Amino acid sequence: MSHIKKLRQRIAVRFQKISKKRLMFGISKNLLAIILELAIIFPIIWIVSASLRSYNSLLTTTLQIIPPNPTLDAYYWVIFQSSFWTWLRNSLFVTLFTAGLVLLVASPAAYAMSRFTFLAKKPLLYSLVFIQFVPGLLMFIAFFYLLIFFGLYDNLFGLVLIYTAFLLPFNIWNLKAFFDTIPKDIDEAALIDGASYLGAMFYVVFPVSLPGIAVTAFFSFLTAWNEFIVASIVLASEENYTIPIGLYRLNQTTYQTNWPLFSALSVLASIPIVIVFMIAQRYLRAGLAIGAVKG
Amino acid sequence: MNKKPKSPHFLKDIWSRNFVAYLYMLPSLVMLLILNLYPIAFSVGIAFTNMYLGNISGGWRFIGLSNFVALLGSFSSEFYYVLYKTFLFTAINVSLQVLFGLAFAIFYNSKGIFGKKIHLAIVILPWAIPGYISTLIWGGMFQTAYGAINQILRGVGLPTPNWLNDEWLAFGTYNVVNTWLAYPFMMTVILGALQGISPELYESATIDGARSWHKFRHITLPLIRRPLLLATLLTTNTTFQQFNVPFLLNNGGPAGRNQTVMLWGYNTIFGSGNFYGLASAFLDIVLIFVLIIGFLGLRVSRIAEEER
Amino acid sequence: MRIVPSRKAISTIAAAAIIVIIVIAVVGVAVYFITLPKRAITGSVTIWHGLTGSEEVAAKARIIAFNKEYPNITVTFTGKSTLKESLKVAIPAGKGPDLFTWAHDWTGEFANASLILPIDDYIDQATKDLYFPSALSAGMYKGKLYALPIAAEAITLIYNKGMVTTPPADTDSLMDMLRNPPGGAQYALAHVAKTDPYHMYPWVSGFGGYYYNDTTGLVGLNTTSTIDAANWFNTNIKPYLAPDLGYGSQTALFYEKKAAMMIGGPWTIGDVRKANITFGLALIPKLVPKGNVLPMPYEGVKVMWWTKNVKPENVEAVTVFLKWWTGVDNQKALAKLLGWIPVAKDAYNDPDIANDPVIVGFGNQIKYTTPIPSAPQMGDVWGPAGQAWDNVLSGAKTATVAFNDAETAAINAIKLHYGRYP
Repeated sequence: MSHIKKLRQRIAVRFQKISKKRLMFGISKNLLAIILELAIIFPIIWIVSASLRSYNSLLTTTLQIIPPNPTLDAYYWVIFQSSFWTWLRNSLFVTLFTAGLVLLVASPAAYAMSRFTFLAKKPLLYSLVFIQFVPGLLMFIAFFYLLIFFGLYDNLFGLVLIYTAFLLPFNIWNLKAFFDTIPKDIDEAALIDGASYLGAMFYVVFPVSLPGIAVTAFFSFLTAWNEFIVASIVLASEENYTIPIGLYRLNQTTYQTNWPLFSALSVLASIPIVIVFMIAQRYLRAGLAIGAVKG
Repeated sequence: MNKKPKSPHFLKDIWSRNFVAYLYMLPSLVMLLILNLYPIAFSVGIAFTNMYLGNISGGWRFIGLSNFVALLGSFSSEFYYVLYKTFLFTAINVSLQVLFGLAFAIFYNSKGIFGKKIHLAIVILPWAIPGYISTLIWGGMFQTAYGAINQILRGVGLPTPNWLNDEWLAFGTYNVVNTWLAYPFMMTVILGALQGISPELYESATIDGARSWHKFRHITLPLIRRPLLLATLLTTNTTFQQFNVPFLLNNGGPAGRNQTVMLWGYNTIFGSGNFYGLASAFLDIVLIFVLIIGFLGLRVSRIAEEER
Repeated sequence: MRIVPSRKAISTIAAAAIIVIIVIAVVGVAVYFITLPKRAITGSVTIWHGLTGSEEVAAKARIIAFNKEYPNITVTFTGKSTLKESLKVAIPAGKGPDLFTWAHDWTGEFANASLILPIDDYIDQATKDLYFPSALSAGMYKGKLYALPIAAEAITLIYNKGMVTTPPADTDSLMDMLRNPPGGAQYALAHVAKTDPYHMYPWVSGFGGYYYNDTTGLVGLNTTSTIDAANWFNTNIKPYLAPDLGYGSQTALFYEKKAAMMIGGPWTIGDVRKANITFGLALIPKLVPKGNVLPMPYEGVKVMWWTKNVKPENVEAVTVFLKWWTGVDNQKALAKLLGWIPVAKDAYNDPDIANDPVIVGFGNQIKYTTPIPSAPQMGDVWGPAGQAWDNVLSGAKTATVAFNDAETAAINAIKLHYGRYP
């Protein structure tokens, strides 16, 4: 009985401490946040609203947030009558493969750069930074001819290679910076205990670097899922098209864009990546090593 | 610091260390060499040729610096205007991104906000949604007759300008859209840094009688300086090379007046003349600019770090 | 009691059956041999296009029809979102399609880069004669034929029949209407004029001016005729137009019945119908100040080109497809499905098509058009031309200054890109 009484007392005391001024301040802060956020996500509200309309009703000169006769026709068309599933399958393939390949190739390299000193280390590091700044367009034609040379034109795996090449420099650099924040003593301890270099890397350092690895995987996923210019030029058969290409073509109709269809596909295409984003959010803050401020 | 026991096989150790290091780096080195360095070298080389679509498989020849002369030669050439526009865009936009990123990070890091996780999830949405989708949506919203923006303006009786077909209005829309797309990155980096600052620092400062502004200037700012500068550097590079926003909104503004550097390069390669040589020369010049920016940025961040 | 057919009955039935079987066999064999040439043609044809939405659906239906006629030709019909760029990267590398289709003004640049081949060897004179000469010339560059035409389009005068009983035949009547908008409309005319030299061209040509001449290679922006056209439009028409001259605003005025007439192309008809407007089509009014000359807008012709990636074993199949796709029957079908205006004489004159007022209306105007120049240099002219018009109509510069500046800008751009002018 006395527990509850004590609790009640504590709560009462707590509330007493909060002055009216503070309360007003707190409420207005939250209100401001809500208003700000509504303004920011207005385009998202608009696109969802557009996806629920029939074509005609969009071409009005007055704003209508809530569609007059909401209908799921657009979604129906996208899911059942367009090549959505082909696009989805292709996009997933490219994205997962890219993330996997980048992780596979970048992690050992970043580990080596973080743990070892070796010949040409500094120049290599600088060139990694340097490559990131080169405009992609400059490399594009050469890329293309390389792909043809390897027989990977109009091939999803060719796309994976291009994306990986683009993602490697930043990710090696970022992972290395991240590994740097993990004390070398851990590896040393493992090595002294008799582990091989590989073992030390895999079983000791990697598990601790989950945020960094998550960020790498995440950025790779993001880039591969969202890219459309290179994809639209490299892929030439409709069964290889990825989601961005499908979307872009829907926006390219000769006359007015068919907004309901475009919006419905946009919403469907965004949902997976938004979900992944929400999950990865917390890791992003930790894993973006440029944010590492220790000591 | 622990002292490593000196191994009797010292040389062998060094050799095996180097060997292992290179082994680990081998796949990435191979990929970087073939897929990154070779294309860069190739493309830099093309700048000195007269290559265009018609002679790409043979018949092109080296023309030395002619492309560069043509570009830089006359001050009224497109080149300088495109460069000027892009610099202006970058300067304005990066400032806006830092401003909003900083403001949001501090706002959402402060006490008194309920459901912080939900708020952060919402505010990060512009980054989460694929950029080209958002840009196309914004393009739709800025349409003169049926776009949402003008619908709202019309509703309150304000004028409804032709956003995408007027040079400076379109420039403004580029800034709005790109800031919307890019501020979450800044915010995330700064927030991450802010969360690394222990609250005791603030508490002891409050005890010493410091006001909020002082706390910000002397505790927060120095501690987030490094990540802030590095993030600014990265985003300056990305903003300078921005392609999607001008391309998707109105393909470089009315009559190409708003082409940014990358869009101009793209249009030169794929436009009516297909001038690879010229475009490569242009992009090489862009590369030099970008490297200068990068170099300066690194310098600044290093100075900032030393000041600590 | 069992019914046993008599001998006579059996033999009659047997005879009849044999005759029927023989007839069927003969007819079958005859049909087989008649279609044999078509069936015998084998090969594969890859076509790239940029059609989307309902146009793509209709085109794919036609591909199915083609496959029924030529079952042994494999057709790959691919839609590309970045058509021009993809072609320019793929064809030189040998990975491009056999044919591709778009509006004709790419001919010059693709021909210069040797990405497309002349088809004079594959197309005989009889086929060439199927088309209207101006449409056929759209696929020509420097005297060689690179493409066959499929459909044409041009802007013309669209008027709201509920507001306008007789469309203006000449500019004097037009100006009367501008001063007194008919039918209670706020504006007599909706005219797209912002950064849109394409929509302004009829007036330029009416005054005898031009933007670019394919044959001479000269830019005509600062000719007296062009400048006169700009001044005339700015003084006589512009004051009576709605202040926002952009495409979206102006077309919206017509759809919302605030403007009685509009200068627009076939692509607007869909929206006009959606707005429930009973509309009519008329020629752009004759220019009284130039002696009742008919202004000639630019004509855009959808054509299909032959790339250099065609393999020798596919030449026959590709020729067959090209002729079929640009042939009379297909043009009729596309006209019915999409409202495209045919350019094959027999298709255009076909009674079915002749009943369609939209096709007839635009078709009339198309007789008075000039094809958009297909030289690649034209790409450097559009920008300055649009700028000049914008400067004049906004009052920023006088016509003389604006168009002279534009001429310099265009020539400079051409020199930068091509090394020489003309």
